[in-house]
Amino acid sequence: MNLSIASSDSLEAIKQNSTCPDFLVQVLESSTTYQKRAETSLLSSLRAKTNFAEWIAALLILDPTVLSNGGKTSRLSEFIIDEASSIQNLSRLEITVDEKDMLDFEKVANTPADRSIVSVFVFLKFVGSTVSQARITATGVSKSALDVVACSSILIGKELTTALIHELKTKLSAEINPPDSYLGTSQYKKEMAAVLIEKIMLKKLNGEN
Amino acid sequence: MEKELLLTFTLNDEPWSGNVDAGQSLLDFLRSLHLNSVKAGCQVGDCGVCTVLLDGNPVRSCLLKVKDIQNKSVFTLEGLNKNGRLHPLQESFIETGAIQCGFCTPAQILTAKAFLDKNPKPTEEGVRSALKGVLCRCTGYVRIVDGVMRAAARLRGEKLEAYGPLYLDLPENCADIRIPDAYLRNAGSQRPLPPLVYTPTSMSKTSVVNTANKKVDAEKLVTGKPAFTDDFRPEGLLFGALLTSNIAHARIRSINTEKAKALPGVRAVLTYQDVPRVKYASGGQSYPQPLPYDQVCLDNKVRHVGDRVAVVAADTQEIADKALQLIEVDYEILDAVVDPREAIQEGAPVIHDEEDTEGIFDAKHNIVYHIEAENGDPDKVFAEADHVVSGEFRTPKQQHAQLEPHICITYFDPDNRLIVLSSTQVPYHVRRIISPLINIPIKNIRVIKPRIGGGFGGKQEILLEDLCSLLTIKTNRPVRLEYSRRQEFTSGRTRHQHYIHYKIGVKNEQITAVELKLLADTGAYGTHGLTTSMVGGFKGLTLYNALNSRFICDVAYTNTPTAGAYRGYGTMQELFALEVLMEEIAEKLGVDVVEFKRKNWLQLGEPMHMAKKLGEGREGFDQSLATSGLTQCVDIGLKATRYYEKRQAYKNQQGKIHRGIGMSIAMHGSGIAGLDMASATMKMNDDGSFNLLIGATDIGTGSDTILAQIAAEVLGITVDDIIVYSSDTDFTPFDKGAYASSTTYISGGAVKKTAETIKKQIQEQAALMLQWNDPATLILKDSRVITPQGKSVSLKEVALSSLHQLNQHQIMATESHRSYVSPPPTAAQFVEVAVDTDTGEIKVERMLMVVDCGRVINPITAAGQVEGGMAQALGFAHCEDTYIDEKGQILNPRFETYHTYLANEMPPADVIFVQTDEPSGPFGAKSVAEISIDGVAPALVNAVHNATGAWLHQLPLTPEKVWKALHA
Ligand code: FES
Ligand code: FES
Repeated sequence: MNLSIASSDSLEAIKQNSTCPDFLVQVLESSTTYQKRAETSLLSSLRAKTNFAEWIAALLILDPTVLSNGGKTSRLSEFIIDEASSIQNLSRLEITVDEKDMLDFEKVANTPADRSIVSVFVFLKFVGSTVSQARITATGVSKSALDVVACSSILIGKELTTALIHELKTKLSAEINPPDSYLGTSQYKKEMAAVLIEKIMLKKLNGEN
Repeated sequence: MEKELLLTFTLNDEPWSGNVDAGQSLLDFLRSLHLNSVKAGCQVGDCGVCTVLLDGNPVRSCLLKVKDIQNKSVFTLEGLNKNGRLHPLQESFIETGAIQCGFCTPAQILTAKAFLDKNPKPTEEGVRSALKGVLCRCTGYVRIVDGVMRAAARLRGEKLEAYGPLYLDLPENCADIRIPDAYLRNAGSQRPLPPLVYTPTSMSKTSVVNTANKKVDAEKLVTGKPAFTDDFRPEGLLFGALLTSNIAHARIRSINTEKAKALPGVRAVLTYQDVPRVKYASGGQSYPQPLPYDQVCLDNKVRHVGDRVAVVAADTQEIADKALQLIEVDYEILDAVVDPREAIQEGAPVIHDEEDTEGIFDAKHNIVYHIEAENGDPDKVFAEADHVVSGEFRTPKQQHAQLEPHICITYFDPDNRLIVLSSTQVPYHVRRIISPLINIPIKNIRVIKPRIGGGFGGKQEILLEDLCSLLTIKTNRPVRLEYSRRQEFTSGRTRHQHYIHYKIGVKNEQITAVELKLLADTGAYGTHGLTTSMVGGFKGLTLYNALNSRFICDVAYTNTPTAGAYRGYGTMQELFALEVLMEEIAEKLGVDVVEFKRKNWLQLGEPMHMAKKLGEGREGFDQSLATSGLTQCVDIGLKATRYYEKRQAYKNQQGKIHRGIGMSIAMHGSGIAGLDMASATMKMNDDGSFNLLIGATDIGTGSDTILAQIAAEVLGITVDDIIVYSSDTDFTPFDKGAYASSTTYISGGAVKKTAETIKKQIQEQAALMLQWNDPATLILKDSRVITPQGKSVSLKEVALSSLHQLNQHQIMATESHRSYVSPPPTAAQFVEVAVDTDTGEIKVERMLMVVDCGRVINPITAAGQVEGGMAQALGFAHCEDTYIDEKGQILNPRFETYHTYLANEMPPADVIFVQTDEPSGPFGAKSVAEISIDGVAPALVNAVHNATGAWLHQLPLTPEKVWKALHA
């Protein structure tokens, strides 16, 4: 499935697009309101990392191709992570999703619709039963609005097993350093990041996603 | 002006063109065009009540600039019924009772319209998701969602059944009670249900009372007509702005206002140097308010972040806000204390060290009130008890979060009398309390209360009226002063945070002694500290009414925003702790908790042992329980939730998600015994209609409607023939205001008496006309006066006769009402949850409250009270707290960070009424507004315990708290 989004498309238009993957629809539903989606263009959302952290985290694991106004192509992560990059040059995002890929997210929040305390987004591509590509992003796990989690590399070339999931959890906990806040202590957020990633992976292992 | 722009756009399907300030917000621009339906709730994009449609999509007008609508189409609620007919959404909102205060209604309707235009066959989940961007603090979204679903069906041309409650007879024996299937929610449906009303067959019948009459003001609100304070801006209006402290505790060494005064357009700047130092208390309570009077309009000391420093009036809001930034304040910063447990210790910073405040119990230790009350001999009885169980609890500093901020407009009328237009629950108290502060006699002040966009107790305070008046006096101009949303959090009022210690002695499964120790945090000023604590103590010791009871309470000052009146008023905090501890005791004793409670709760006719000792801020009156439907409430709730079956099933659950069910019981009051007084005036018009003039204030509860229903019932007419006017201190008679669950019971009592006097006058006039010599035997029915033989005259004929022909006089009456009892409504609350044991997250799956509020005057508005109350209580229990750091800064002072439940996460909130016939209430009514908030927290904690085995004593139940309890 291919989704091509213009920088001026509103998030609501993206959600209504028949080729928008369910995963993105769900992320938009869960992290934004009708009003917010109707008012905000793709470009504005990418400029507002704090307000749209979950949406951007979800986009990042899809690793979209960015078409710039000058005709250059690049990856979205370069735009998002590199503060100096000029996001206003973005013209379109091209997203390709293979139905066999795993896309999932989990969050922990005070109430079902409250903003998340921690959220985790995972993309896995398989060759047979072996993970060939993995991308993990998270929010609430450091001082910045969202993070690309490096520990996904340990999954590459391996089959998903409970032992591997356990290893991933441990690595993730070691990698992140969430701040204390009124939403939760650092320790709780660390634990939750691990719990969420385990939930996602176990769902995959048990054939639930 | 940022930059002038020639703007061309379509407004409500009509072209519009003109020069505008390009940088003006769309919200301000639309309101400047008198499109009053567009509301301002936060102005920072968090609440959604400013929603309008831009090219058919809902957008927040406070975030858009005028330049953003160039060549586009803007649609507001005013555009919806241009042909004079209501849109199906408006019709459905009226029918389902989706409107309480009405402040969010335009935004809800427009958002729903945008959604239904694209989704004519929506799912309920879809509707909830679409509406999640517009907050509603009144309804719990139950009737709003129902209204949208009904409108969708109407738009599809489907035939609709009449909307209303379901009435069933209440059998003598609870075992015979039939619960309709829908109310069992066996299929897991989330769909809102109409309220179910059980009535004992012995109760007399009524024709207007106990029906779901549509709200008398519904059409005005659903069409966005001017109704709220900000919709009435007089000519020549100046805009006020309030400078508040950003420091929690400091003395003001000096304030330099020169630069602010020099700013063009600034008309007045006031600081403590400009206003007389008159001591007062801001709580809107009856005369005499309890001491201490620990406030002055503007002080040379600040005691919390958000405390008043200076106030400005200017030609525009922008200039006023700019002027605030030019005021230079030199603070001597003092140590602050934000925790009441530390505030009362030796050596803590003294918050009220001024010499002119009388009546603080122990200023050196920041103890504003100390209360002790005792009955019997608790120590002796504790010593003799089989078990003595105790527990410590803590409740949060919950925000009222009403959508309309505090707002006030003041001006002088041509007779030089001061008009105070205010969104207040207590117009008469406002007039009395500000009079000495502004040095204008009461007779020269007129307070008018327009529609109120939610209050919940927060508008039972005098927060802006004095300052706004002082600005008008200084400038001789109309002035408007409103809290920003941030100021609502920092300068408004909150619920009192309570630290509670209960000790309960049990012998032979009977509660024989109870001790309740309370530390209440009143924040920087005392205001409602005494009365909320006494009410909490009384209710917390009366539900089980142990003969041997003791109450010991300290109310502490802290350098935090002031606590005030809030729906539940002390009671909900104490009942939370009590009802959790009761469950713990039952578990310890190995007995069924419901039966344990049943053995101990206050029985019919039983004297309330603490009623006299713990009045409200003074000695109370002896009281006993005259009516109670508690047994039936509990039994119906047990059946409707299949409580025992589920409790059993939830034992020893496997997996990560554990389900649980919990229950609690509650009793509240109806007005303040021996203190609250209300009055009403009625007069008859030429056409047989009546003006009903009341000082009671409808804060969204529907009280204007139910008071009209009471009058209509007495007079044998429909509500359509009653024109309700409320409230204006020049024209409506005294009413203490909307608080203490008093409106139905006390104001309703006054209206009933007044209507009865009017009825007598009508009977006398009709007797003359009909030449009938026994007026009392004449019957008033269907707008006619009828002799037992069937001869009759219409009310119109009676009116014309009395005004123009026979025995000419105005049929008119004023009556007052007070009561020396405060009959408790009773209720059983049930909550079902799913707990994620990995994360500690709680998903509430169902709430059910079964309520005895006497006779239910209007089942739809009453159900709205219960649903909205449960939603607020759920916030209190689950997610709402004001987080304050050690320097006194609030960490979550906006809706984005202070989360209230949204439409797409509200569980079903079902309401069942068990009617009783309270002899002292109008047509048997008791109160309903506050009991609805009392039971959710303990039922939720008990449900989580049922699910997980963990006991949680600190609210709100954040996932981390639950997770820690599970992994302790
Ligand atoms: S006023 Fe615009 S979102 Fe609150
Ligand atoms: S009716 Fe929704 S905020 Fe009052």
